[in-house]
Amino acid sequence: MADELTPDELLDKIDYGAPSGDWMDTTKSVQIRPGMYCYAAKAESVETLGLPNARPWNPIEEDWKLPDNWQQILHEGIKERLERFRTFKIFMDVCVRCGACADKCHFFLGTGDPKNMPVLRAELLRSVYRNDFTTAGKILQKIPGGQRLAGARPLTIDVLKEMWYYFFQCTECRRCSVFCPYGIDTAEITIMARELFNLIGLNIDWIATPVSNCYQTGNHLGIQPHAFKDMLEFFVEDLEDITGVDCTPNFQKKGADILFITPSGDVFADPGTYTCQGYLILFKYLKDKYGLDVTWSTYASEGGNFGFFTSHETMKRLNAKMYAEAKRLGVKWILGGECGHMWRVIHQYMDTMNGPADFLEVPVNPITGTRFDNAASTKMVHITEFTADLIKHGKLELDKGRNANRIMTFHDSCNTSRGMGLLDEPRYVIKNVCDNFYEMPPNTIRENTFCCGSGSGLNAGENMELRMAGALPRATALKHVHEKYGVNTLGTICAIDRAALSTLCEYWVPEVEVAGIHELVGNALILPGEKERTEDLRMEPLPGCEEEE
Amino acid sequence: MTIKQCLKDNHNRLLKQWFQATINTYPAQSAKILGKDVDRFDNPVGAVTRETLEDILHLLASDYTADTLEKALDPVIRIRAVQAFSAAEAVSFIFALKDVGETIMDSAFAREFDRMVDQVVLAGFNRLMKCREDIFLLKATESKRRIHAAFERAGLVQELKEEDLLGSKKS
Amino acid sequence: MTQKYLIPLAAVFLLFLVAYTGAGAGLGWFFGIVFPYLAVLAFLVGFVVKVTGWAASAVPFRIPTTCGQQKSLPWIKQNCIDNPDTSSGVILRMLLEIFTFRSLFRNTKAAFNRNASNRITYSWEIFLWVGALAFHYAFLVVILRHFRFFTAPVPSCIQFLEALDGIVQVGLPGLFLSGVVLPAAALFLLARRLFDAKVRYVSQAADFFPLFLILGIAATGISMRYFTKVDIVGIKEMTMGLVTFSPVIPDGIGGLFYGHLFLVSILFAYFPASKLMHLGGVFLSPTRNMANNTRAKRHVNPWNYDVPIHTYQDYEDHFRDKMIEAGLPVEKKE
Repeated sequence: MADELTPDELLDKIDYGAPSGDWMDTTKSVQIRPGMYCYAAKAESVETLGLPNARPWNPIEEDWKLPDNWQQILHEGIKERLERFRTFKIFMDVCVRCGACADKCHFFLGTGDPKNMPVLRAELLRSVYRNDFTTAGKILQKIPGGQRLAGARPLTIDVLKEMWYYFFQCTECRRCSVFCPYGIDTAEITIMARELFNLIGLNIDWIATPVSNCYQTGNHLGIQPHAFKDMLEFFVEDLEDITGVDCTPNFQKKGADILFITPSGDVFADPGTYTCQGYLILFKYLKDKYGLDVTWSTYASEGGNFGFFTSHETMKRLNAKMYAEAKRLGVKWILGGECGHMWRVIHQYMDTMNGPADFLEVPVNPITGTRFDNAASTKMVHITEFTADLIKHGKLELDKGRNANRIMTFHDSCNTSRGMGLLDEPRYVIKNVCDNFYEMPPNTIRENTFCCGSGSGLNAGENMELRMAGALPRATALKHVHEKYGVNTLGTICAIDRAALSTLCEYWVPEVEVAGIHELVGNALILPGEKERTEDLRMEPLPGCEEEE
Repeated sequence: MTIKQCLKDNHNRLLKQWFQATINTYPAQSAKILGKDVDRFDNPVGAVTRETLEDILHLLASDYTADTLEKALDPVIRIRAVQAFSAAEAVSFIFALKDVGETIMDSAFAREFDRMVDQVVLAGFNRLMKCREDIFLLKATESKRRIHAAFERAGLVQELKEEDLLGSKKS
Repeated sequence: MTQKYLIPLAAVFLLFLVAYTGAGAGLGWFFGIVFPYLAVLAFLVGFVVKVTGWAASAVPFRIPTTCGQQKSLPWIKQNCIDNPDTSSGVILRMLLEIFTFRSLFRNTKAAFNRNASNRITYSWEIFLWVGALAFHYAFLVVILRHFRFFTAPVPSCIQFLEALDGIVQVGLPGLFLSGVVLPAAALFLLARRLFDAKVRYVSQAADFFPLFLILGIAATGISMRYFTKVDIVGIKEMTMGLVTFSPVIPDGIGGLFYGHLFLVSILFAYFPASKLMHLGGVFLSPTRNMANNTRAKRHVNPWNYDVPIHTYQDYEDHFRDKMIEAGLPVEKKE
């Protein structure tokens, strides 16, 4: 394997050595270390969307095969973004380096690398900004030593490599932004930096390939329409075994009430697949009891949007499918599955980018009569909002006992908590389908939640050390409730979490399983005409049925 | 007085200095934060390191085996195995206990104490290897287990021998 | 590293000496009239240019950082301050941010927790909040008090503030609280930068310079009030002359005052080009000053442009046979 360390590499793996006083002095010695970086984007994937500078390259090689005028491209790119984004301009100008954010970053806390302090991560780019775009920087450049005095530096290849390395060690979780007195959001700065990298072809493959797949095939894994359908039909077979009820979903059904879009991870990756089965049970229940017609689509079969980690433009190009498909099918509104960054995009970007969605209706739950005024313009409702509303109105028949073996805690996903504020809806659902629920400590949940360490396209395999180090703060809190209350299930409403937290648990807290909220709903929901269930969705015996095995 | 008694008597001083030496293996700017005695959820590295070192000192002062030592070392080694340390650096903090002991412990125990620390070091290397194996296994099998397992259940891919991959972990 | 704070320190000394000696050498008109006018002009122009510069940049997306429960279903309690969906909520959030440094205060929560061994944990972070609040409020009081030099008669609110500030009634002339708190807080913030390894690591010369400048201003001001006893009548004559645009240079004011005035002028002139502009930036920060209602009310991006997308037709053309074979509905069946 290419990423195994040789003894030599091990010996000179990062040597922090005597800390030099000035972080700029260590730029040259920054090593792009195996285990901490993701592989470079494949040329084909970059070509699919016609993004610049598609070529094979390798971050640990000396030559990154950049265009000759890369400095000019970046300079102009920064200039353009300063005009287009007030956030960027203000965040470049107003930081006072008070240090409040320093120990808020899970990557800093986990790796102990001082360049992972949010303020310093931003300073990597800010130092270039000061050099090229500020009056003080330009004046001070003219005197010897003035550049250093201004905290400025020219954009050299070493500076670029250092930026690349550290901006791909940020998961855009926004935790630092909560504590910043000026609301400086490192996620926003990372988004700009990655957008700039993409101008000269410096994406990572774990982002570029899903983007390319999603664009052409409709989802990150590049699953073709018939395979997508096969997969759901397979779940239907399993569900028939478990419940005795046929939960066959609709595909691309014109005139359905609601279009349902969820991250493809729920369809193709364990344990998200169990969450997916939960959705199928819920929709079957609503269809049989209340006649609600929900359809899936293989064209818009990806809720996630790795374009968000590439550039605003790419995000828009991928996101456009949601409204386009809703319009083509003539549904009333859109329902979105459990996902983190998908919901940041829907909540804070979609309507602005691809709206107005005037061909849709203001979402109303026809069963309860609830009008989702909070989604009046975007016309897309989060499934936990939807389910919480159904439960509140007593429209779902639930048997909590079927989840009695689950002792739950809940991991707030970064994007839904700090980019949306969806905190109590999932908790309400959990408490109605499961009796045992314990919160993790208050400084690690809700708006203070710690990232899983694998967000924003960093959930690759080759950077496992980075991911596990970044996961440490979350794991510490999880381990605490595991030991104190016997928590054995970590609930989450994010597809990346379901994959990443499973790995996190395996390394840090092996006794804990990860489950989506609608997996629990699927277990508890009593379908009309179902047989007596003895197994949960994982085909493990239900509590009380163990002996019958 | 036995060495165990001496260890008990000097527990706090040993812990304090050993902890400081361990935290100083991080860059100074970070050590400042990691060494802080705050809420463990705000500073997991510092808190876990302190607790683990304390456990080891307790173990040394009572009865221990290679197994119990290794188990006790797990939390801190598990962290250092994913940080930017080389294998040597990851366990070097244990050697620091020798220097700390030299200044604190009665010199009559020096040789015996050194031997004790050697046992801790060996246990540390064992645990580090296990953690690194965990990491490489996660790297190798994560996507296969998550994605291909689902495909396989659906009968979309059958040729994959999933059990072989998982089997190596159990052994 | 040392140059990061030694050069700013030396610069402040040098600037003071320039004014001190310059005024003695008959350049009082420059340090007392020309430069203050220029500095105030630079401040005003610079401030306006900077803020309008920010305002000129678009706000393409509505991306507040949400720090509490959103408004969704009517029976779920919204956190109206930390996750506002109306402008009144936003205003409240901004007021709390600006007047109480609410975000910085979040830092301190850990300080009130008990750690695993049930000891109350100790944290420097609360002092960052306290220090920052003390510094900014003391600075504000000092500035307001100085209005007595620019108004005649002195408005009663300024007199009241002065009375409040001198409430401890110690010494003669009476000790002002702000005169103690301001340098103390500034020294604390400086000490943090010098001795806290992480803050020292991220600090730039531009972080030290304003602190030294403010300390220099405070030191000269305090020594004039309490120790060297300058000619207050002459100074007021001069400052009134400045604000009424009929500047005069009375005799016998002394170099110390020119030093003080020059450092203040430097602060004004330096302000717009520095991080001190956080004064203006805090009002404009899009992660704080926007309501979290993007799904309810459409936000318009002024530079939104069309992008190439992979349409359903492209998709169906690509997969039609496979879709038909799998029994998926298609638009064209050939």
